[in-house]
Amino acid sequence: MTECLVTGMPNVGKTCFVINFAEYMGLKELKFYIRQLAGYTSVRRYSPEDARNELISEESNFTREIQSVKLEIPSGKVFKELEIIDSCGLSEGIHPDAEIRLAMAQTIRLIRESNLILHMIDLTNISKEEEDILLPLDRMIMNYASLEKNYAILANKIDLHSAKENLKILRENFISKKIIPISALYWLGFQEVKRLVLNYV
Amino acid sequence: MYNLYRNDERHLNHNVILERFKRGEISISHAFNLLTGLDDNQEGLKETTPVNVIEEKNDYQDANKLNQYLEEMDNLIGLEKVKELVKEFIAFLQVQKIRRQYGLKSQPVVLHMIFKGNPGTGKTTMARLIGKIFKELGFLENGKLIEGERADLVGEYIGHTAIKTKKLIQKALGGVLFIDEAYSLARGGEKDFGKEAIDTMVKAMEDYKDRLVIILAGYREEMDYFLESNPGLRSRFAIQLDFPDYTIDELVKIAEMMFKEREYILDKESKHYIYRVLTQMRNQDGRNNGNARTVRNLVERAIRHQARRILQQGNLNRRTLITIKKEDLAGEVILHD
Repeated sequence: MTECLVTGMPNVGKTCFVINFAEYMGLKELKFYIRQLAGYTSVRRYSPEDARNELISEESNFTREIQSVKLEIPSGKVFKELEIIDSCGLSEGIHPDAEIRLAMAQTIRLIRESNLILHMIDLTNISKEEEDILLPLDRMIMNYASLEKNYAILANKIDLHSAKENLKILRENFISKKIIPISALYWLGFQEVKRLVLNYV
Repeated sequence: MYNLYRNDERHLNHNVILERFKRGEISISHAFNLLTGLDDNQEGLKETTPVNVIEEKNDYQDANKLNQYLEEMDNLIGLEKVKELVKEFIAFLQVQKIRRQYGLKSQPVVLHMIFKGNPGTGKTTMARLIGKIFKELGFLENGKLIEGERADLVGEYIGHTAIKTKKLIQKALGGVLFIDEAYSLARGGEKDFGKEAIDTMVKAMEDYKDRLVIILAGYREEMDYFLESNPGLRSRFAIQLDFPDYTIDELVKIAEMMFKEREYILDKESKHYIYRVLTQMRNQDGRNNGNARTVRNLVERAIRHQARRILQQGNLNRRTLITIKKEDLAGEVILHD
């Protein structure tokens, strides 16, 4: 089974992407496998609409658990499994909530273990004026995650104003990195993401 | 082989860093700096790696899984003393292994145990976890738990018992053999076949001391008597763990956790009520009742009652689906497991 981790800072659109991408890949019913802190896995079923209503929020750190959906990808005569893992957003400093710290630690561990890392960056967070165009934490995630070979950036919120320009800056700064512009909300750029993940299945 | 060890070490370092982050001792940036620094220094680690790494079956320990099991153990409610002791063995095993890698003398590891405590105090749960943990430490091959009782060991005719016992031991090789109510092997006096089962077991403990952990479990008083009457056994089971009864507070916590795991919540009134139900159970039959297993039965029954109630009321929404009310917990108190 191929494990593909979606990581990034809080509120960049990780959960939204996982749900919409799973629907894009043809899932009618989403089975969310939730890695409970106690160590076992539980399953929740949602229709894509319900999942969007229940799991996505403007509140940051709304996703507290590591949850994943499994996709079956036809490959020749057999099906291969692709697990897309939605993780807890990583935020600066020492988070006061121990549960969130635990979930963040799990996320960091998964960066090491997954076959493919999709680092989601909010394009509106890119800034030309600052010394570093990335936020410090995004920079750290990139440094750590791109030690692994299979690393790609999902530049989210391409639909927003000023995103196009920021995408250009991002591309100029990271010529050697794979960057896919998407809109998790409006399903833009999913075709290219699909092409990318299929390479690893 | 060389690589394997290095990976191991990195895994361990990783876990130390993540552990400190989890405890809130270091910030995420600090953690990332340490983690990234570690990876850059991979080449630097090479010189300090011991050269005489002995390749062992199962040497590769998945520190991640180990941590998961340790977390699972920490999440068990109560049992503080037992947890401490188990952590001691784990440290001991880890150090023994590293000593071997450095070519130092290591103690032979014998880890047969006695679990003493009333039913439903977490003996089987702990045994299962210990099996998994020992497997991750590379001490056991598969770490699975085989449960047995008198009837699985003792035969009806002369000669049957040894065969039966041996078969069960063969099945448990590489894992944990858990004998519940082990004291019953000594009942019935000299002529009873239980004695033959004990003798066979003792022999197997010597023969397979690296491949098998035997855990004998039972009521405290009965087990004490059982060990006193079998001096040979007492010396072979050096590790004795006491499983005290849960306090009512712990039982309530267990109940709440069980509900939470199943995605139910108790409303205010039912939280108070559950105290009363559990106290009442404890008073009715202290020894056999009012422990974790009774709580599980209570929880499962309440969930069934709740299902019937909300269907009758016909008002189904997210809130009613997850709420347990006082009347769901009511009903006749179960007297026996």
